[in-house]
Amino acid sequence: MATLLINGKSRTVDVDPGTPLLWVIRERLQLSGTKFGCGVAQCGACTIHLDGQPVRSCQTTVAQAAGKKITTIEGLDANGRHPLQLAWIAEQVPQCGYCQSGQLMSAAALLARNPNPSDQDIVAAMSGNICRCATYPRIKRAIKRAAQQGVRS
Amino acid sequence: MSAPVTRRAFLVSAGAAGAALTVRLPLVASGTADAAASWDPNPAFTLTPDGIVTVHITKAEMGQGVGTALAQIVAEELEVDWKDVRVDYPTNDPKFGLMLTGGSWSVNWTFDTLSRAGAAARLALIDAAARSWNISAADCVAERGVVRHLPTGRSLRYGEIVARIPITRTFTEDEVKALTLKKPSEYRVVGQWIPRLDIPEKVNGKAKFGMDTFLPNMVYAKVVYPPVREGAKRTAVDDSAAKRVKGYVATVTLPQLVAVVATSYEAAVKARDALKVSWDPGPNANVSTESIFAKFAEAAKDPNAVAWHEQGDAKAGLSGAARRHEASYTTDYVAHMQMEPMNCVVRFADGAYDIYTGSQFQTFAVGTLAATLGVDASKIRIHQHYLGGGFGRRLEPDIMVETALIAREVKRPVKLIRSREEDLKRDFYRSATLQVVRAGLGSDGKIIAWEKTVVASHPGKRWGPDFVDKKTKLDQFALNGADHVYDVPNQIVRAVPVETGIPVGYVRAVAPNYTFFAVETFVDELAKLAGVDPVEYRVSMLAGAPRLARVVKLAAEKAGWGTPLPANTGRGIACVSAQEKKTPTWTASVVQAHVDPNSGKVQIQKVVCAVDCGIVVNPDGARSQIEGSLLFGISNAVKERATVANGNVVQSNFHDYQVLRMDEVPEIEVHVVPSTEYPTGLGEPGTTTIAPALSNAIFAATGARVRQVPLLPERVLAALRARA
Repeated sequence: MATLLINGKSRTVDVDPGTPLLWVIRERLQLSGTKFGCGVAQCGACTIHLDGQPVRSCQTTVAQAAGKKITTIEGLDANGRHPLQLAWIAEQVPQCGYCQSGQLMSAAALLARNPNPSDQDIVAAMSGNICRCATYPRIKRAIKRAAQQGVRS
Repeated sequence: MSAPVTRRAFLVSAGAAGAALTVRLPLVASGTADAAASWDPNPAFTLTPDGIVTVHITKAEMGQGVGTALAQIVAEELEVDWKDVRVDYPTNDPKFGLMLTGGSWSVNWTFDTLSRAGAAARLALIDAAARSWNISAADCVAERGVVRHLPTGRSLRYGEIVARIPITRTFTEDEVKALTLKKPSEYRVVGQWIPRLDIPEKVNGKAKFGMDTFLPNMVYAKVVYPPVREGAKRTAVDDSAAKRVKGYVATVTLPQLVAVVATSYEAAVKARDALKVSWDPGPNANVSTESIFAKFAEAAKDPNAVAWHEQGDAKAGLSGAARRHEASYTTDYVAHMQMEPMNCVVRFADGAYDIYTGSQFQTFAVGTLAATLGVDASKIRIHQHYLGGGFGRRLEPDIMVETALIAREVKRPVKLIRSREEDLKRDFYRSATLQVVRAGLGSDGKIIAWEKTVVASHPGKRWGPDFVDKKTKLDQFALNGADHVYDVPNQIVRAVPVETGIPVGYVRAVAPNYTFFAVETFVDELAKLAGVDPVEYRVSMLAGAPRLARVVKLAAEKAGWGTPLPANTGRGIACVSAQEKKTPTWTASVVQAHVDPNSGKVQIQKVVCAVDCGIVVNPDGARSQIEGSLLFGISNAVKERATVANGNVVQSNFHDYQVLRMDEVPEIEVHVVPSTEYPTGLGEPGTTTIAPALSNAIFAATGARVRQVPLLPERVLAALRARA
């Protein structure tokens, strides 16, 4: 048994402590916004926050997450209106959409530590997240848009 | 796995083999005796008393925004407010006709049909309102979901009509064909910047992909795949250790596959790892990239190669030419690498199969599943989800067949998720190819004869007899583009299909990826030989394709063609009539690239693309598709390469099969030509311009000619060394 703190709620699951957090989040707790893409931390589709830090949930075990605050795309903003989510809509970023939860979680972690990132900062923070539809130019624009609006508010 | 294919699988078999493909959508607005809870004038949409129109999207939504675009087409002629439009993605039903998404066909195939479906329903609604007022329908108009009687100003909302008034007007097929549609200048919804309907739920985690299916009592399966891609035979299965894994449920051993089933994904993986399966590797155990290309080189010499395209007398033209040139081009295997690994959930109950996945080709899947499982097609229900990338991968029903076979055995809902490694090794790749081109130039430098041989594996053969030409047995989707649109009086294109032990399928932009690489690089070589500027040379041979000539000139102008660049930096152009000669989206790209002469590393600095696709339904969606298709082309052109050893693909995940990441994205500039021509498609053509334009840019930068895709640094370096 493991107790996990996900999106502000405490959840108990009956799994081996070595189980990848991804499968617990997705298949046990059915928070299916977090995606499986590669299983080896190469694509970023499974990115979540652990105490605010972006991590690949496919390479994070349940044991490593115990006692830490887990945030998934479902918990990024209570109403789904995080500045990045609004910017993603304004810039019409997603195509197939499968990688976008991971993209948003990586971008949110970037803005949390660097509210006004340069192009280079964005590229450095986001190049671990693959988008096979190649929505990269729009992702970059959306991050800048969210950053600008964050500065204004 | 190869499943038997029944004719039943194809509603439009001639179409699949290349004839004019149309969507068979009954268009007659059916009368209802009484007012009803909802009105279904045809299979394309439903109108409910709340005034909401739900457009039933039978095309797969895989990021191309097809749901929004097709709904816009309906809304335009139906005259409804966009805020009252919804979409859904229905379960397969014969009433929807051919359910197939690919080829950049969706808008092209449905624009006229959906426009007429909307127009007929609008007229039926006007008719109902007019009858209820006892006045002439000719005095009424419909606008934004309201029928108005012009003389009196009386009005009825569509929803009220559906709720209260019988809609009885019907249309024959001829009447539907005769309907007058709006002129492009009258469009209010088509051509408007309308945000995509699928995007809001794709930013909050709520969008449901096939992988996001959870059913009560569901178990997880893992299949044990053979070590050789094709031809291996299973000799023994020992599941004694697998049975000891916590959560183990069953071992499924069938002629087609061996699988383990467990209560969780992790347990299924553990049980699969504990399962001992022995294999006889079969006849393909030594197949390698080298052996395949050696086979291709032999095949290219085939004196009996079938002519796929021919005009004039190429042989005579070549022998009479003032100058001749020959070159060979190769392309490597390419994998789909869609972000959502192949997966499926199947529930088998009461003799029927409920299948939860995202499919690009439900019609084919239903036929294949029905034949494999021995049930009537009505027992196969594919519950359509968003596709986490399609790119042609989800045309294939393989994952559905495997999951259904397992579900039938275990009598519980089964979820089968392939790992990325399995996904890559069980792909149906874009074929590796070898193309040999010869041309003869007249004394004026123009091409008077063209002879080309295309050696490739043809996917159609695997799909069944309906997917190849009856006479030549060739798959046109393995060859499209080889019949370019340049004015060349004498041409012959021969095709040699070759089986290699590596199964091929359709990957975004399909054959034009490699056919136009050869055509457009070779034309550049000929321009050099003729001593003519590559843009000028192309335009001089495009009298028969003025729209292509226009985008060539536009792309060149916007890219600053001819203006000076720093050392080792060059511009290259390519233009295409992709995806098919009959329904081309006229596309031209100029790539500007810098070559590091020491490493051979190429940096693409900028791509300028000009496109003429006729009417644009959703301008931002169009732009998004063009941007994505160009970047997909860059990924293909500079880095993607699947190699083969021991009868299987060597690569296993994104670390050794690399795709484009954000740090490799150049500046992209897109120009769409305003047009009122009938719309074609946008998902793919841009992709096909990149490899040749880049090869031509490398030549312009360095004088080195690279004739192999991907244009890897070592290949560029070799070409640089061969230059002198």
